[in-house]
Amino acid sequence: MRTQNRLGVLLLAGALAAPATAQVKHYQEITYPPLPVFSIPKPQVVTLKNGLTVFMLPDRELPLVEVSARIRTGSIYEPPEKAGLARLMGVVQRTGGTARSSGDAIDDFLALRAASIETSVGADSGFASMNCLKGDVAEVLAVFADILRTPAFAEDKLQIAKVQARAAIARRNDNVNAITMRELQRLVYGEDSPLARNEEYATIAAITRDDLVAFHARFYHPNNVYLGVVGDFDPKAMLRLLEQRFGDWPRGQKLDAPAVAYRKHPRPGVFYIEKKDVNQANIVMGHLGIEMRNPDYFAVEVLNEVLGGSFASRMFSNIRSKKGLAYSVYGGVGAGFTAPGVMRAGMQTKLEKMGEAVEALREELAGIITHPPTPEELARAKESILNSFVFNYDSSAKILRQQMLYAYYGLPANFLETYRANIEKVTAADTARVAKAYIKPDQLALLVVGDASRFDRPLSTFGPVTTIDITIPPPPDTSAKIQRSENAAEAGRALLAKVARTLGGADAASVVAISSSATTTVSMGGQFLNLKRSALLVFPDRLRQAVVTPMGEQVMVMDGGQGFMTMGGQVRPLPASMVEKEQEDLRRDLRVLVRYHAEPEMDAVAGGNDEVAGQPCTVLAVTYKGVASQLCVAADGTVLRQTFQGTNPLTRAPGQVELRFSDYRPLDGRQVPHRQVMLVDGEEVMTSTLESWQVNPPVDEALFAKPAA
Amino acid sequence: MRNGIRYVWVAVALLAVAAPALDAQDLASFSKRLTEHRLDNGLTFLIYERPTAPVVSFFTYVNVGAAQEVPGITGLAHMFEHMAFKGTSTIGTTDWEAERQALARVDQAYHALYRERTRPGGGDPETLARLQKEFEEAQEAADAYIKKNEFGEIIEREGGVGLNAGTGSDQTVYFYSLPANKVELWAYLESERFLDPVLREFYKERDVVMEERRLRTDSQPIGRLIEQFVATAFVAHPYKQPVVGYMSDLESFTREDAEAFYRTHYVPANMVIAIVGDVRAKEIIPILEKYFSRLPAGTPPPPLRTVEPPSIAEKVVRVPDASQPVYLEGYHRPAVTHPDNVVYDAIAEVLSTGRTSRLYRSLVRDKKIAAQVGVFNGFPGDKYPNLILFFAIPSPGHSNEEVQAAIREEIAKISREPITDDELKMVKTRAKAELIRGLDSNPEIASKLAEYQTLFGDWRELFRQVERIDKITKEDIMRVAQATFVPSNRTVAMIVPLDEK
Repeated sequence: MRTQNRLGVLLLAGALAAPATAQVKHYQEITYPPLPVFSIPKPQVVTLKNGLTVFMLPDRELPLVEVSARIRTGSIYEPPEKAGLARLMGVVQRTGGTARSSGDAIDDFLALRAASIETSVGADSGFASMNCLKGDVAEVLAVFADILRTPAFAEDKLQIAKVQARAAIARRNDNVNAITMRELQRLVYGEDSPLARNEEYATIAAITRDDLVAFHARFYHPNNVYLGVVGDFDPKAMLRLLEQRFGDWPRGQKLDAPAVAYRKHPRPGVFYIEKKDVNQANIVMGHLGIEMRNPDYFAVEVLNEVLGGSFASRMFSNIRSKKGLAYSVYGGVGAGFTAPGVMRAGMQTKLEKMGEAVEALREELAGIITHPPTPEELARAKESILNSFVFNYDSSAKILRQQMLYAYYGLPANFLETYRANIEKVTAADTARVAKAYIKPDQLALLVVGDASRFDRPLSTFGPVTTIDITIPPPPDTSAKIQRSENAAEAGRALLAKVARTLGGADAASVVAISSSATTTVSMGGQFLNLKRSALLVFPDRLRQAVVTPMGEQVMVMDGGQGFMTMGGQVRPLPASMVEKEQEDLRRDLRVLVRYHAEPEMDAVAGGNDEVAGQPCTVLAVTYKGVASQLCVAADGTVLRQTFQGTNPLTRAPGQVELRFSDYRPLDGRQVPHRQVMLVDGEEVMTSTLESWQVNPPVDEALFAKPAA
Repeated sequence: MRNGIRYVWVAVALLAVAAPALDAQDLASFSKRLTEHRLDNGLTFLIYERPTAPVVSFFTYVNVGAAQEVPGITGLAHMFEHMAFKGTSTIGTTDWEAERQALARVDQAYHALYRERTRPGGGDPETLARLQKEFEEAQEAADAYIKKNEFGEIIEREGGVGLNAGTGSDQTVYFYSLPANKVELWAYLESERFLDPVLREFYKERDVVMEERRLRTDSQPIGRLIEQFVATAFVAHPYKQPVVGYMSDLESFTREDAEAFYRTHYVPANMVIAIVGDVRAKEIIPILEKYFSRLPAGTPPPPLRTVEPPSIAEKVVRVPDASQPVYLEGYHRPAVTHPDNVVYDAIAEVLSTGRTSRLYRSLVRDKKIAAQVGVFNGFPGDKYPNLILFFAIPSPGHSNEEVQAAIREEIAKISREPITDDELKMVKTRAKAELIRGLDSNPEIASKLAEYQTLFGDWRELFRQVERIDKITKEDIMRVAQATFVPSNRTVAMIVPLDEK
C-alpha cells in the first residue's frame, strides 16, 4: 500500500509540473461531485410480550456494545416539597447497588472491564446506559438489568448523594452564567413549575429512601421503557439475551405524561440580580417558546438560523462582530416536547455597556419582526441546514438515539426524512409570519445580573425594576420547638434575668465594653490548628476581632453598619452580606443577650428540662431583634449550652450550631465560662480556652480606624 | 515527497504482545487505511479513510501556543486564532486595494493614540480624545469594505459543522467537518487562510478577547485561582502565562505584532493536518498538493530555550474570594515524551478515574469532605515539563485543609505501597478500551492523529502508548510517586472563602 502510494504520488507530481496557482479555483468556481448516496440504516424494532420496546442497530466497526434505555418518568412527577427526588433517585439507582451486588462491588466489576453503567433522571425522561467491550456484554448486561429492575438504594449512598446535592445548592450562586440561565427559566415558567423549581436544603432533607423506592416502583416497568442496542453484536443472540434478562419483568401501569404546570401568561418586566464580584453584565430576555409538535417548528428553525444560529446570523454579525459588544451572544425561539421551550436572547458584556447591549438585543428582536428574513438570508439559512443535514445521521449511535427519541415523544419514525422536505418548503412569508407569532417584544422578561453601580445607565430606564433575591434559603431548623404560654413567657423573662445577674453581675445592663482573648483550636480532618484570638466588643454593635494564624494576623472590624477586613497587608471592605451576618451573630451573642436582657426587643420563653453532659438545665428560647437561639440554663444561672441555626465558621455552609460553655470562674463578680466548644451538625469544630477577659477596658479608637490601603 | 517508514514489523510485534482475549482495534488494521503525505514545503498530511457516513473531518494542528509568547505579547497566539476567521484578500472584502490602504491608516491612527496614551502622565486629555476619535473613524472607514464573517458563512452554507478552533499553551488548532464531497472547498479555504490572512477588525476583535478574559478568568473565582496558581508554579517557563493573555498586554499589542507572530510560527513545517472520513487518499492528494504547495516553506522557528529549573521551593497561594472553597495542588513532572509519561497516567487513573478511584472513595464516599476530586496530567500543556494537578471542591461544612490532609494521605499510600493487582489490570484494560472508544468519531480520530504526530513525531504513538502502559509495573508507580510527590516540588493554591475566621 505504501509503495503504491508513493508511486501514485510521483506520477501525479509529474502531472503537476505547471505552477499550482494557475489551477487553484476561487471557492465560487469549485464544482462538487455529488454526495455519495447513503441510505440511513433503520434499527430493527421488536416489542417483547411484557411491552418492552427494543431497538437494535448492529455496527461492526469497533468491538464495543452500547445498550441504552429511556424510561417514562421525570422530575415533573415529583412533589414540590421533595424537589430533587427524581434526580436523586437517578443518582442512587447507580451508586446504591442492587439486590445482588453492592454499589462498590459493581464499581469494581465495571472498572476491571473498562465498562460503564450510568443512570440519571431529567425533567421528563429517565435514562440508563451501559457501554462495554463486546466480549463482556452478557456479564455487564446482567448487572445493567439488575440496576434497572431491582436497585437497592443503599442508605449510605443516598446520604452521599445528599451531601453532593447540598454542595451544589451552596454553590449555585457562585457562577454568574448559572444564575442567569436558572433565573430566566424561573421567570418564564414560574418558580413553582417543575421545569424551573430549585432543589433546596429543605426539599433534599425531606427525601427518604422509601421515597426513592416508591418512585422507582411507580415508573420502572417494561411497558414504560424503550431499550436500544448499538455496536458489534448479533441481533438474534442479543434478543435471546434480552429475553433472558428482561423477559420476566412484570408489566406495570401504563402512564400518561402529566400536565406540566408552568406559567401560561407571560410576566414581562425588568429584573435585576446583584452580583458584585464580576466584570460583566449577564443579560437575557425571554418568554415562552413553542412545542416541537407545532407545525410551524420548521419555519421557526429557519428563523432561528437567521436570527442567532450562525456566523451569518443577525445577532452574531451585528452584536459581536459589528459592535464588538460581546464574546458570546445568542438568540432563538426554543422548542420543547413536554412543554413549550423558551424564546431567549442574551449576551455577556462589560458592565459599562449594559444599556447599550440591552438596546442592541431589543433592536435585533424588533428588527426580525419589522424586517423579516430577506430572500438572501432565507436561502443561506436553508442551505446551511440542508447542506449539513448529513450530520444528523453520521453515526449508528446517533441514528439509534433519534429513533428512540421519536418513539418516546410520539413523533413519526420518518421525522428526520420529512424534516428535510419541511425545511425546503419554508418560504420568506412563513418566516415573517412566525417571527410575528412567536417573538413578542412586549412580553419579554428582561433579566440583568451584575453590579448596577457600574452600569452605563440605570436599569430602571428600561422600566420599573424588580430585584430578585437569590439568597439560598437556609436548611430547616431541626431544634425542638417550645410551646408559648403566659407562664412560659413570664418564667422566661425571670430566667433570663437570672442568667444576666449570674453572667453579667449587678451592673449587667450598663456595661460599656468587654475585651477578651482566647486560644482556639480548630479541628480539621484529624489535624489541629491553634489560633490566638482577641475580641473587643463595644455595645451595642461595634466589634473588632483579630485572629493570629500561621499565615499572619487577620483583623475584622465592624462598626455599626460598615466594616472592613485586613489580611496580609490588604484592606478590603466587608461586603454588606457579611456585615449583616455579623450583626445577626451579635444578636445572639451571650454577652449581648446579657447586656440587653431587660430591653423590650428581648423575647424569652422558658421551656422544659434537659441536660448537658449529665448536668440538668432548663431550656430558654431567646429572640433578640428577630434572631433566635435556645439556651440551656443550669440551676445556678450559668448557661451550659446555646443552639441555633447558623453557619460553619470554616466554610460558609449553614448548619445547626451548638455552643457548650464550661469551666465557669468568678471574675469581678461575674461567672465567666473559660471553655467553649462549638459543634456544627453534631461535629466538633472549634474549642476555645479563655486567656483574658476585661469589663469596661479603655477603648482605643485607633483600633476601629480603617488603615490606609 | 517522503514516504513513511516501514512499520509492518511493529504491527507484528504488537500482535504478539497484545493480550489475545482482547479484540483490540490494532495498529495493523488502522494503518491499512492511513496514508501519510508530506509536501516539499514541510507540511504533513495524515489521511484516514473511514467510510462510515458521507462526511469528512479536518483538523489543522499548528505547533505554536502561549508558551511561544513573551511578556508584552501574551495572548497573541490566541488572538491570532480569532484572526484566522477574518478572511483573506479575496474572502471577506468588497475591495481589497481600498481596504488595504484603509487598514494602513488604522495602524497609523492606533500608533498615534498609543504613543499619546503611554506618555508619562497618561497623555493630554484633549489630544487623547481627538486621537481616539480619529482611530474610531479610521476603523469605521476600513470596516466599510468588509463582508462580515464571510469565511464562516461559506463553511456553514456548504453544510459545515463543528467549526471551531482552540489555543492552548502548546498548540493552536483549527477544525471542522464537511459533507464528503466538499474536500476541495476545505483545501481552498484552509490553504488560503494560512497563505494570505488579512487581520481585519483587529482592534475590535481585541475587545472581544478582552470580554472573553473578563468572562472566563476575571469573573470566575476558579479562573482567578488557576491564573495565580500556574504563575506561581512556574518560575521561568512560559507555561506560567495565561493563554488568554494579561489584560495590559491585550490592551497594547498591535496588528503588526500579530502578523510578525504569524510569519514566525505559521510555517508548513510547524503544521500537521489530519483528514478523516469518507475520502480516498489517492483522490484527494492531488487536491492537497494543488492548494497547499503554495505555502512557502519559510524557516521553522527556533525551539523554546527556557527550561523550568528544578523546583526547590514549596509554594502556597491563597486567594480570598466570595465563593466556596476550592483546592489545587500541583507537582512538577516531565513532558509527555518522557518514558515515564504512561506511569503518570496510571497514577492519575488509580487515584482519580471513576468511582473506584482512591481519591473518590476516600474523600467523597468515606470521609464525605469533598463534592468533587480529581487528578490531571499535562497542566497547562504537555509538550514541555508540566504539572500533575490535584483538584478538589470541599463539600459544605468542610475546608481546604481537610481535603489537603486527605489528599496527602493518598499520595503517601501510593508512594509507599504497591497498588493492587486489580488496579494494575484495570489501568491496562482501560487504556485499551479508551483507545477503541476514541476511534468511533472522525473529529476525535483526526485530532488525536495530528496531536500525536506533532508531539511524538509519529502518529503511531497513539497505539504505542497503550503498549507501553501494558508494560508498567507496580514498582514503576512507586518509583515515580516517590520522586514526584515531595514538598519542594509542590505548589498549592486555594480559594479562601471571604468570611473564613
